[in-house]
Amino acid sequence: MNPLGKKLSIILSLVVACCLPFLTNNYWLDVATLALFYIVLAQGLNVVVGFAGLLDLGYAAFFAVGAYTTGILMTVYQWSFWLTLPVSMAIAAVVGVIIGAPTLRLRSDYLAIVTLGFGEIIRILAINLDITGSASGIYGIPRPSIGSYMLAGQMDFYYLILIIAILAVLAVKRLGSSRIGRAWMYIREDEDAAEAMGINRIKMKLLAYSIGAVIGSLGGSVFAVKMSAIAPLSFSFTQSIMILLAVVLGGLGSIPGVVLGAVLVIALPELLRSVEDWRYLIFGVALVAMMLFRPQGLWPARYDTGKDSAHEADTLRTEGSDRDVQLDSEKCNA
Amino acid sequence: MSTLLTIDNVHSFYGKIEALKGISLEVRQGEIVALLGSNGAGKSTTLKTISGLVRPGKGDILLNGKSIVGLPPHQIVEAGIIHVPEGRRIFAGLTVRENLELGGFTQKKKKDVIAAGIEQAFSMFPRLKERSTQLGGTLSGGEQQMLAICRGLMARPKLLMLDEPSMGLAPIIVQEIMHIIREINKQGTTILLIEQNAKAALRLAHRGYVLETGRIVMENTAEVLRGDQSIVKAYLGA
Repeated sequence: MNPLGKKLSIILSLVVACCLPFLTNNYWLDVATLALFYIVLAQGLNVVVGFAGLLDLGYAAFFAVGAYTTGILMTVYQWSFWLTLPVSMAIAAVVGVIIGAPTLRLRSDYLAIVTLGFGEIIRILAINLDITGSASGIYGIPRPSIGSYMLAGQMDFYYLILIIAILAVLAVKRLGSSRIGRAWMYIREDEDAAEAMGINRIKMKLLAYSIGAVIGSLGGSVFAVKMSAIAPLSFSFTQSIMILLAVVLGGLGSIPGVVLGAVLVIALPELLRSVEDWRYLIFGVALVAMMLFRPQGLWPARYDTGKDSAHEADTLRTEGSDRDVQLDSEKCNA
Repeated sequence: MSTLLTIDNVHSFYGKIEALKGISLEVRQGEIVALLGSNGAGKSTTLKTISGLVRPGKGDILLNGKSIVGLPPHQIVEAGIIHVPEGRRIFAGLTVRENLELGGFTQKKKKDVIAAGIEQAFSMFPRLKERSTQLGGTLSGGEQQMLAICRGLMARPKLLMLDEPSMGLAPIIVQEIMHIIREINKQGTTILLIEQNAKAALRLAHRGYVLETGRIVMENTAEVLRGDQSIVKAYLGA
């Protein structure tokens, strides 16, 4: 696509996103809001999995950290929503480092298993701790307000998360083309060679986890005030997988791809509602087909173009697709 | 000639296996030094130990008289030692230019240094310039090796370590690579070279060390090593 076409399509999709509340009913507005949440989360995970190549199966943990931090600070300590944001981001960054540090030496499958474990730890902590309201979660989270205007309606939250999503996309885009972004890419492509070229592997990996965590927690904080109640159920393993699915479906490391992937992961099951019980089966089959015929994702990053790219890139892709096939079968069983 | 790199009685281990059993060698400013030996002699381990990818169990490594043992690899790169690993290890999914930019990663904000380095690489290997937007993986083996060497030079190393630059390349390309290595050396970069192709290496190098199962069994000027019949038989495949 030429630069002009690119600009036009970005402006067009922004205009559509801004006008959407006036064009549709509450039901679809809710679906769109959820899709925007997924865009934020998937972009955060894109930093970890897409840029740095660290497979994370417990990403919902950061989503939970954001949501619970905001929930607890607002209900127990009566903080303003906006003040909770920096706190939950800071906590998420620290949690990111805590999860990242012991996994630094691990690669591929082993890394995936450890991150999965951490995701479960956070969820089970939330179920068992008193401060997180145990299994019933936290409810009665107050609505945020800007000055005297209280954000309460569906449309308010739609615009709030739209702004966060735009910020997340911009931030990830800038990061991707920065020196840090290049360092992540080098680590993803060949960790040893990157290290031999003078990249501080440990620092860069921890940074990827932290930044991914911060973006995820931001989504979580907004989620908490939007739903006004949160429970451990929202941060299950399936949630992590759905976010990962959005990233892989769209195209690892590709920013427009991940946006598209997030929208599809939310919108497709809704569109298929007419076929009732069959919808997840059809969704699953569509995903399997997609991974067979277009394993690099719907809108792949520039580097994963066709067969001429490297062996490493191929392995990464096949690994990704294998996982999705597995996860489809899980979904079908569910 | 002053000593650039000194390795003093270094032992390195892979788990319990002792790969280096007390290696001592030195590389002087401006030299090309060749490390020779058969498979498993410890040549690559020696380079990996110098660049910090493997930590020595015992012994000391000095760069310009300062110990670099225990430093993480990225700090050793910043100190001026670049390791061009075996099998080239270029980034197949990145373009030629991006591969070169990576080499200048330690130059941080110095965009002009990176630009100058890329220019230098392109003037040394015009073929890389033609292919600057091509993915690294689409280059031929020889071109990939050239790219790997140029990528290493981007950090302006004091010492460039090359691990088997001729591996898997056509003889004519090997000659070209050897010629380039000499050029790089003439422009002032000290080189530590591993080669299976000992004949070619000894034509190029000033001095050589012969390794055997983790020990240095011989060291001398390249001229003497070239003339030593036992070496020729054992390692040079005469």
